[in-house]
Formats: sequence, C-alpha cells, structure tokens
Amino acid sequence: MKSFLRLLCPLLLGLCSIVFLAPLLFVLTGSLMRPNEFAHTYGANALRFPALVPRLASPAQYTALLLNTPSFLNAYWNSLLIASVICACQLFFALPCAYGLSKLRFRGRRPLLFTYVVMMMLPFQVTMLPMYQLVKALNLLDSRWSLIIPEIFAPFTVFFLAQFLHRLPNELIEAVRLESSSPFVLYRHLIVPLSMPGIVSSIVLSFVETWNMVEKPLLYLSDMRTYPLSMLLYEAGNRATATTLAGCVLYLVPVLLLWNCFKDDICTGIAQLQIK
Amino acid sequence: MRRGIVLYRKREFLLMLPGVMGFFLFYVLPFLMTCVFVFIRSPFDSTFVGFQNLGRTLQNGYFQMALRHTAVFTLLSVSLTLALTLALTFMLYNCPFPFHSPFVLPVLLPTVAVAMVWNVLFGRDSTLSGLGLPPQSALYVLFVWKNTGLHVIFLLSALAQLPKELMEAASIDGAGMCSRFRHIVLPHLLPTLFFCCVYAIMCSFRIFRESYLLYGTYPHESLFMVQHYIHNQFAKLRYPEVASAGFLYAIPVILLVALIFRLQSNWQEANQA
Repeated sequence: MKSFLRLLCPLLLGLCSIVFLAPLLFVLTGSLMRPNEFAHTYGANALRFPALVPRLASPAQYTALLLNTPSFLNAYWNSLLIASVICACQLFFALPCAYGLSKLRFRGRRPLLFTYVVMMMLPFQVTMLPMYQLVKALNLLDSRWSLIIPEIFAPFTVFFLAQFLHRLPNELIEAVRLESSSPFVLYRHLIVPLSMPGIVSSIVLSFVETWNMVEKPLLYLSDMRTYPLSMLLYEAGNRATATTLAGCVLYLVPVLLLWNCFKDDICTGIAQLQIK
Repeated sequence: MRRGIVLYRKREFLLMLPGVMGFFLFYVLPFLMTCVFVFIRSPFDSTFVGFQNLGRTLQNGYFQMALRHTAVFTLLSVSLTLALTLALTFMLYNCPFPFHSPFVLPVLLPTVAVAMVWNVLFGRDSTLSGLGLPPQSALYVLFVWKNTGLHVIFLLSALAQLPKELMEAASIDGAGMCSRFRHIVLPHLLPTLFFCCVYAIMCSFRIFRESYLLYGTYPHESLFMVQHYIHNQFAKLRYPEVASAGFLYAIPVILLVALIFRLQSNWQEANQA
C-alpha cells in the first residue's frame, strides 16, 4: 500500500501541477502570438480552448512594449517604487510592533492584538469612505504616497511577524537585556538573525500584496502618470491584445524572481510559524 | 535591577509607538469614522439620525441579497479550498521528493495577469462551461486556485513536525491508517487547521479584487456581494448607505474574531492544565 502510494502520488501531483500551471502557460503563449492569431484565439468568435502553442511565435509585443511604450515603463517603475518603499518601511515599523505584541507584557496588549486582527480581516470597502476623506485631507489624492503611507502600517505584516517572534526563547532576550540596555542591540544581534526566514516570508508576502494592488489606486489615483502597473494592465485589458499579455508576463517577472530566490527561506519560515 | 528591566521595557515599548500610532491613524480611526457616519445623516451634515440609515440599508433588497451571497461564497469557497488543501497535503506528504512549488506559484501571480485567460477558459462560451458548471464557478475556481498553495504549505509544515516514530509505534501496535489519522494526525493538526480556516475566511473577504478584475462592477447576480454593494453605492455618492453597509459587515467579523480569541485562550488553558 505504501509503495503504491509512493508511485501514485507523484503522478497525481504531476497532473495537478499541470492544471495549476496551465493559466500561466496560456499567458506565456498568448503573449507570443501575432495579433491576427491572437484575435482568432481570444477574440469574439473564440475557439473553445485556447491554443497551447502559437503557430508563429513572435517577440514583437515585447519589443513594442519595452521600446515603444513609455507609459508601460513608467507604470512599471511606479509599481516597483511603491512596492519596495512599502516593504522596506513596513519592516522598519512593523518589527518593533510585532515584538511588542508578542513579547512585551503591557496593559492592553490583548485588546491591541484583537484590534489588529479585526482590522486585518475587514476588507477595504468597509473603511473606503473615511480613508478617501483622510487621504484628501492629507493632500495626497493624486500621488503615489497615498498608496504608500497607509500600507506601511498594514496590520497583516505585524500579525504575521508576531507569530514568528512568539517562538523566540525568553531566556535569550533576558540575556541580551542584561548585556545592554539598547533595544537596537537586541534587534541586531538576536531578533533579526533568529527570525530571518520569518522576516523574509513577510517581506515577500507584502511585496506580492502591494504588487497586486487594485482597489486603492482605483480610488485615489486619477493621473495616469502615477498609475502602478496593475492599474495600467487592468485598463488595457479591456481591449485585450497580445501586447497586454506580454505586459502581464513582464509584470510577473519580479514576483517569480523573488520566489525563486527566497523559496527555501519562505518554506522554512512558515515551518517555524508557531501556530497558536 | 528591577528598575533596569523596566527601563528596557520602556524603550522597547517606545519603539513600538510609531507603528501603533500609524495603525491607529490609518486603520482604527477610519473604522471609528465609519461607525460615526452610520448614525449621522451624511458626512457633510452631522445631524444625528439614530438608526435610520441602518434600517434603510437592512431593508434594501440588494443589500440582503448581497449579504446572502457573501455568506454563501465564504462558506463554499473556504470549504472547497480546505478540501483541496487536505487532498494535496496528503499527496505531498506521501511523495518522495518536495514538489510544492507549482501549487504555491498561483499565490504569487497577480490576478490582473490571468484575468483575461480566465475569462476565456471559464467564461461564457468556453470549454468548461460545456461541462455543465455555471459561469459563476469561474470565481470559485480562481479563488481555490489562488489560495490553496499557501494553505498547503501551512499544513505541510505542521505535518513535518509530527514525529515519524509516533506513527511507526502506532502502526506496530496495530493501528490501521484510519485510526492513526484520527488519533495522532488530527489532534496535532487541529490548531493549524483552525489557522488555515481563519486565513481562508480572510482571503474570501478580499475576493472583491478578483471579482472586479473578472467582471467589473456588476457581476453575475449570484456573485454580487456586500463589497460590490458598498463599491457601487460609493460610486453613486450615497454615503450613508456605504457607511451602514460597512458597519453591518464589520459586526459579524468582530464577533467572529472575539470567538476565535475566546476559543484560543480556552485551548491554551486546557493545554497548560
């Protein structure tokens, strides 16, 4: 029975992974199609199932996008800027909060944790109206900072990091506190090295979340020069062409790179997550 | 020494303050403002109107429909995701080599990239609609496809911490696969399963983004959820409805989180006893 399972599981998993990766494959092949073949496959009178291999592969869309479409490059840069600034600042603000929520004992710790979890679970629509007023009052309405500044204090990162910091042994923390009274020493020598997989996981998840932002730019931004790439592709997607798919493939590249580099860290990190 | 320890704590607590203040400014304050807007006539006219806005929203047929559909979607999508997660975790556990990358990849892929392909694959005249599935199953498939990977990683990591010797000892003692699962694996996995459930519910609340990318502001009737209601009312500038719908959405979420916290502290007490 055991050996039967050992043979069967990889087969089934192979089939499942083909099913899971199929949409990515279609995006890739669609981006390589020439416009008339694309219209034939994805157009109004679409075939029942999109072709897997383009009849004539051409990188014309990629060259058109990268060399002839400045708005694409501008939006790409916007997305990169927004996502990296958010991830860096989130780390800076969220790590002390997570440490405080998980290790420090102060009055109101549990209600604060409760507030974090509630705000984490509520969708954006619940606070959409006051957020718009707040952003307008802060004069950030048509600017990329309207996306960056609220995201920096996002509760999900704090909560996620707090789960990792739970597992730090209290004795080590006491030992470092006896040596030095500076919290920065504590962070540099104890917390950051020990919870590196957790920090990496939360950075990657944050990056993915902000890379994929759609509702906030929709609400706050009206100047096309400030659009992140997700918005640009969404608007362009209404007139579906192979160029849009090529843009999507280029859009996927940073995320795939991140996954490739930090795969092991992420899996180790999640394995260390102390689920309470 | 005692004063010294209090000094450390104070400094670490102070480091925490900027993040917490930002959180309060950008998350808690808007939520409190939503609660205030529910009970006044409009954001520009602060006459107190009591429960009028709430009553009007509750009696709105579209809101009731949206509430029903949100509940249905949450229940169905979370169950489907967890079922597929369990199946995949079982298969990955019995697989001799690590193979989880293809399943985690959809978590990372932005929806914008696959929305077009999704409409072709699962849309109105596609192959899969020929299988007899209703067209709104496209959103369910998207949700399950996107979120299964991360849950699989959670469960797989928890399973990896289960000592193999325990399973071997049990099988030596004569326990079959079913009873080994029931008595060893399941109690060990219970906290992680619970966490996966909560995380899946949170993901299902965020489905508006995927639904908007696939269908725009007015999706198929059975997919019209409270988030759509709020978004559309916001576009029509009907702010009291926006506030009251948001408030009514938040109440079950707060109750759910309170329940989770209570269950978790009970479980911790039971474990320490």
